[in-house]
Amino acid sequence: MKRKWKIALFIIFLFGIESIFPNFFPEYLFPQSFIFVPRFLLMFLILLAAFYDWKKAVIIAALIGAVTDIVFIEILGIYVVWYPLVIYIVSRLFKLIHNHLVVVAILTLLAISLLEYGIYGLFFILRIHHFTVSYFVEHRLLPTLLLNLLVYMLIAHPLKKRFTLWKKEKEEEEGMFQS
Amino acid sequence: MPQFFMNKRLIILLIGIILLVALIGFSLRERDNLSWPEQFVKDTAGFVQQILAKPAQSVAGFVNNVQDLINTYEENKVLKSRLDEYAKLRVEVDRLEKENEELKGIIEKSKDLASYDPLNASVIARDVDRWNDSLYINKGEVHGIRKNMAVITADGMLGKIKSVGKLTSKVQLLTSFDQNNYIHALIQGEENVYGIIAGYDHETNRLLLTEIPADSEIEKGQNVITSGLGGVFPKGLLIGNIDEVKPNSTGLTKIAYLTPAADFYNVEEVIVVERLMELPEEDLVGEE
Repeated sequence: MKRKWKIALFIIFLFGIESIFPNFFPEYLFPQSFIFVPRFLLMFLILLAAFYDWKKAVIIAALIGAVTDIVFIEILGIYVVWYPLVIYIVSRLFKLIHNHLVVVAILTLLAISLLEYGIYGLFFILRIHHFTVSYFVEHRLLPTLLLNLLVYMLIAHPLKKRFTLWKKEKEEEEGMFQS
Repeated sequence: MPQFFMNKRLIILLIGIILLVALIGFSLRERDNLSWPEQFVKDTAGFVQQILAKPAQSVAGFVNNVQDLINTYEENKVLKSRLDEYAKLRVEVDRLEKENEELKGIIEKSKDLASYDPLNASVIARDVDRWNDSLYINKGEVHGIRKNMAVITADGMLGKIKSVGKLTSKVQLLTSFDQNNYIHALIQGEENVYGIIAGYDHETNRLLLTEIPADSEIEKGQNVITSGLGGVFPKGLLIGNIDEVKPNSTGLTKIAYLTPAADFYNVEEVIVVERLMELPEEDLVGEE
């Protein structure tokens, strides 16, 4: 069960990266107040769902959502629902379309937009902020998509290779038990 | 209708939504203390974040050093020109400080609104989604941090402690949207003018100072500090300086925009400040 531990370690690592990323990202280089939200964990989970095991991805997403709610938001029940829901929707779509890296990239962007819109809407209802939709799209959504697309291009290919390998191993192991 | 209730998935979905709304409602209210499972998860996550924050800080420090090296020559010129001015000021401050101490000794006053205990802490994380702008630091209840303490950097005021775990705590920045985030402030000048910091303008990155009396004369560049009269923060923490003044919509008071003194990005080390002056009685204090 080495694969499990590798996934867990990688997720813990990404969680740490996500939480310090905004503190070191040079946002002040941009003239306007753009906000770049790192969504590396979501990206990792989508790749996991696409090339390895989507059910595991949904369960992990719920766990990460719960931790995010407790540690960062202090309002329970926002990420814990949205995170797995987004992964679930996207992994349903994977069943309809061929899993090519470009397709997965588009779906990743779709998932990030869904997540951001959901959080934006919920926080708007709870009156935590009062941004208009156009401000949100211009200053938050587009920079976020751009940042995550860049990171996706860096990590997608090696992760895909690794996950397909694991899947093969897993299927072989299961095949051994059956025969 | 019976068929409607037979649908198992639908029932589960409805119960799920009800639970969700209840959960949000439960955790949305102002809470004094976090429950222990929350504190446990927070501290565990804080441990992980701390491990990763250290190397990241050293890398960022290296980049900053290189940048500093590039700017050294220019900065050196400017600094040299201001050195004489500084020496003069230093002497004057020393003299005034001594005088102040002597005078306080005479009237037997050991602490005033401005006295505080500092406590150093490192930043280990920042809000992932950035909606409620906050920082996370590696000191908590066991180190003596309590809710509502002021948090500053060497440059100026940063925010206040929003919630405390055993080993980590959350700092709410001045840029946050929270409607309870008011600070009573003092504009330094010939006469004391008071106002209230009531928000942050995200489009121009300036703080909003409201409730300034209409007949007060305020100029661009004046310093704004905490007044200490709100009952929570000590007096004299620099918040920013005035950038623009205009009458408010009714014309009865003025509002001013401040350039914040502290840098809200790239914060690595902060100082948590404990006010030494006793607090007024509980029911007299509003939210600062």
